[in-house]
Amino acid sequence: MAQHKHSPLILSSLPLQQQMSNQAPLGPFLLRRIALRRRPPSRLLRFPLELRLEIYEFCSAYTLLNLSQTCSQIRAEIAAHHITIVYSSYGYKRSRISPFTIHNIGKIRTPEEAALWFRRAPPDFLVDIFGVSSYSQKFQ
Amino acid sequence: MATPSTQATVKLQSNDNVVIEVERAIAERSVLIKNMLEDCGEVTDAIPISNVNESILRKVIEWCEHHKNDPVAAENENDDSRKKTTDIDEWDQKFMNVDQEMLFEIILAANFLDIKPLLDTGCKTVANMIKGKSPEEIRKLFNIQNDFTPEEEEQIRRENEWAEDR
Repeated sequence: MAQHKHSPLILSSLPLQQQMSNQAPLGPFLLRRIALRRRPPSRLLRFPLELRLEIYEFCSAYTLLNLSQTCSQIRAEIAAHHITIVYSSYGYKRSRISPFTIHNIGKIRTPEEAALWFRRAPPDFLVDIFGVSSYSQKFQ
Repeated sequence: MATPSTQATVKLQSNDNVVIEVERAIAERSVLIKNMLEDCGEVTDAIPISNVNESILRKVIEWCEHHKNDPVAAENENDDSRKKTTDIDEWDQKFMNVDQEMLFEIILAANFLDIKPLLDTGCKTVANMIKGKSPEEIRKLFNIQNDFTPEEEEQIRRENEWAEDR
């Protein structure tokens, strides 16, 4: 009941949209500037997090490693879900050295990934990834 | 005597106010619509699908038509195996061969309508687009800004370094 006495304090009973259009022009303009600056331009980054996580779950460890090196947002998301996503991803290998680097890639899944691997890795480590176990055991 | 389950078709209304009539069995690929129909019994009015526009809704219905006889997966049991594979059947691959904007819209619609297999197919398609791409290529693909600090860049360089292990 006591609340009602304060009702004159409410500036206007107009719908919110009308209230906003009655504002000084700088108000909405600034709001938009702020919104634009805050909004990442990428469609993928504007996706709901839960759906991006779904996508990450279909990625192999090697793909996740490359993804985590694209931008700080994706990097933080993958790091925050390390146990649920990275640990259970295809080809992830636990390593003494690090939580998630190239040393954690035990296997790769597709020709596309193999091609990228060939492009980026030094030649003698290629043997490792294609399952010559005696070679990899040397480094365990 | 009409029982609620005998209704043959349902009307779906997109957010741009287009009403599309579909077989009930097809519409029920969407768990959201299925539950709604079970709760409400017979629905003669068009069901508003407020988050989805006409072209995406038609696309989703096309998928549901093609997959209307698929067995409904017992979700809890094979949750793990579901994640393992990124294989997509040929028809679905063609279906998902659309521009990036539409692909993301289909995923959002599948999530909203609760059509798990379509959601998975969409997410797999995006995962398949990413695989085998370097960070720079992924940025280009999705218009992502590289916002790493020099310190982070250095850390990333070390993540890709082989020598220290030997």
